Amino acid sequence: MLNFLEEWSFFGGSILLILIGLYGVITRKNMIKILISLALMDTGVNLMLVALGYVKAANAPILNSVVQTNTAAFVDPIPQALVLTSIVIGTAVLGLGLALVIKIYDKFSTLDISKIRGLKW
Amino acid sequence: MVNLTLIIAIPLLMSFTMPIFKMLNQKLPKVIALLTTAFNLLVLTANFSQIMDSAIIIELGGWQAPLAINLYVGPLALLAAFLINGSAFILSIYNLTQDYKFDDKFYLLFLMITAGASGMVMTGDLFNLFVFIEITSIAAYSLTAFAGRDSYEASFKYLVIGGIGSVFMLLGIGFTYSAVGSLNLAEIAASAGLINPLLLQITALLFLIGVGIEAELFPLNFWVPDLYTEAPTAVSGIMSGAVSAAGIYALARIFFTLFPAQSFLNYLLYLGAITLILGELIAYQQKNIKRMLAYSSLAQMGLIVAVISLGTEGAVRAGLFQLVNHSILKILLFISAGVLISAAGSKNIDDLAGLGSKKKTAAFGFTIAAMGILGVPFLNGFISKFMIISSSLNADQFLLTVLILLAAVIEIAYYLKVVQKLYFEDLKIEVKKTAVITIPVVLLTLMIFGLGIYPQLIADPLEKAAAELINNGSYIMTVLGGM
Amino acid sequence: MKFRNFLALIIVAVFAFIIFQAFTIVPAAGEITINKFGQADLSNRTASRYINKNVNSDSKKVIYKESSNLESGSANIVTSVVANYRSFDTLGEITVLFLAAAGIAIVLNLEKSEKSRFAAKEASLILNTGIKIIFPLLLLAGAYIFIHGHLSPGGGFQGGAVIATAFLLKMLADYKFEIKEKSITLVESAAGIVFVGLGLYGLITRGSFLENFLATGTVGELFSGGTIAVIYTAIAFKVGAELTNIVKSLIEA
Repeated sequence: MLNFLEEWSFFGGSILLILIGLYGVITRKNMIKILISLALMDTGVNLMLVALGYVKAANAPILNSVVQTNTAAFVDPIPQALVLTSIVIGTAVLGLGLALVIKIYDKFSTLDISKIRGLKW
Repeated sequence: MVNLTLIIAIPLLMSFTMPIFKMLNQKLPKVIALLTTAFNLLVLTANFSQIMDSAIIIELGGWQAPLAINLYVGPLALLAAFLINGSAFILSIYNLTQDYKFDDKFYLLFLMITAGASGMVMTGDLFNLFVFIEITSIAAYSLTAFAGRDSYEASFKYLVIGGIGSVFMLLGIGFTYSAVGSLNLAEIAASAGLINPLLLQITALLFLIGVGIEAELFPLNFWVPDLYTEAPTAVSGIMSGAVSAAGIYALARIFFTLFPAQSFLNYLLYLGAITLILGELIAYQQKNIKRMLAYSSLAQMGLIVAVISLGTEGAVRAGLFQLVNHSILKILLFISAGVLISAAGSKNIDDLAGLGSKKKTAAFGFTIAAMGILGVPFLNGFISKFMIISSSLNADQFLLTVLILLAAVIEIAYYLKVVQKLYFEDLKIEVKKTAVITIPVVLLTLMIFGLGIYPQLIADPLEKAAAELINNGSYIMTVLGGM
Repeated sequence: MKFRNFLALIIVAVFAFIIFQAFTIVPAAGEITINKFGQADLSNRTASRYINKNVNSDSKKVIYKESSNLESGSANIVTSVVANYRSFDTLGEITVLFLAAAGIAIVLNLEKSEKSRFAAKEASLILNTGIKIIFPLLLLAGAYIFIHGHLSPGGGFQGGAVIATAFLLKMLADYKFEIKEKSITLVESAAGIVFVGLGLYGLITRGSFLENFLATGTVGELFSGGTIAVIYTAIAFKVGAELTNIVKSLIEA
């Protein structure tokens, strides 16, 4: 049981985060909530990437006075580097989204996306 | 030979410096944007003959090819890069007559959307592709918002759908990396045969969602009409002419080179055909001219994807030729429609009536481009349409052929409606002063006639690009070498 | 409304079904699939080459504080991936942030706001004094994080974020506190130019964009890693300036 939990809490959990975010993006009408859902999806996929590079009982990929040589077991450094990039990109998108929300609220006095009827088919 | 990294590095340098240029002189940003795109075209031209000979691999950071990031510039990438930078160059000429608020920021975003799209077509690394897609789309989100008011909503929609797409793309990258252990496109392609088929399908679906957004595929394209309608003309032009071309390139790279399988191509074929028919049908009903162009652009993207995914060499060549033509024609359409709109002060097609006698250049440009899209002989669209129909018949796809012909009929109806309004109806409104667009219209018209009368101009690059796409073995061999 | 939720549920369920299958695959002989959790097989991943620092040179044992003149001299392997092996990605990444900062500034300033804003009030004495004490410390911590990016966890992005936090706190405490737009822009541009300039210098002298052109020193020393430290410093300044710029734009909106 414990084994199962350990194995699935990361893969399953991160996929669940993505799916919850997806559900939120589709169903929510408040633009702030849509952005929060998007941030959830981002977090989920970042966790997923790190989990894909995880090696049980291995060290963080840094040489220091304890882990002195590169023959020791390390977790995969590449997903961590990718996640760094992906976090920054997520932040950038989120910031831009929030700025747009501020402006839309200014113009239409509502955060409800279904009430803004500027553009439809 | 000039190092091709400069195509990305110089625009980056220039956009980082853009605020300083603005401090020096108010007019400098436009000129810098024009010079940078011209420089990019020169670099591409300088490398032309060598790339036609054999593909160039550029190792970044001095690390040997499959192990870190490398650029791969073969005939296909060269063709796409020419399209992207050519579009940017012509739109920069157009921009000389435009005034934007915050013009330093506008031009730095404009340069970055170009560099991002160029990076998308040149990169040989999966994650790097993702980074360039993000650069392109973030620049596009911001550029869309330049028109104020309704454009914020269009931008927000695009941002949300783009955000979802990037999550799925990243998930696909994670799966691929975990299975293959590399991010290099060639290495992944080399071991694609070993990947478990189910995993391959799942990953392909994730990539389709991620890249399909840029390539404007159904059902991920509902942001497109809003964006093209609301964004400034130059932005609609670059999105339609360059970014969607880069999207198609990325899609082709993933489904031809990375995961070559006929079943995936069949799905793409269906998606493309649906996009084509839906796009044309909705375009026919539009009263707003920019919206009409947007749906027409969608439909063309669908057509190109459908034809390329037929997978035969002739079909791929026809699709690529159509892609080139589409970029040229759509930019001309958007530029002239932009002038007509600002002359009439309205985006409604009915309000454009009679402008043909007042705004001669714009009306002429619109008409020529519309004729090109319809496939009138001696214009470039004729030859690519002909190639498309003959290749789809050769591939025994009668249904697709019928759909393409049907789409062409619908196209004729709604484009001629506008042309007829322009020339054969009386002027109803007061004509406002507009920008002068003679130079870009002349350049684009020359290209349209040039490609229409001497299609051999582009025959050789097209053939080599199609061969490169069909045969992914040479791609793998070039990058991996003797490994 | 109900229908929409139902539809969303179906879409999510389909995705869940599809994606979860990826983890339950039992590969046939010779097939490859996703590594099981905790069992990532590094030996056939590119990562092993980065860990052993043998992308261009031969494999040899790397010993902390002893080995010198390696192809990438950073003790923190994630850093050597971010700022050396895959520095082109990192260049793209700071560009994304730069574009977002520009975009936010445009969106918020393009049209005058039609709504009246709440008037800003003086923050409490505790906040004000506390931030006065903590501000220089935060700057110091940020500088430490990015300068030691190649030795310990941290680096340019983290350091830059800490520095931006310092300015955010300052803006919270004192509503009259204002950084000149021009100086932020100059720092942002200069840092970006330094990064691309390093790349171009590598291209001219060594023949490859972003190639390291400095001695890599001994692993684990402060002065090691070649261009990594310079790149990370540029990134820290750029990220700090960009995040400050974003925060400033959002506060002033």
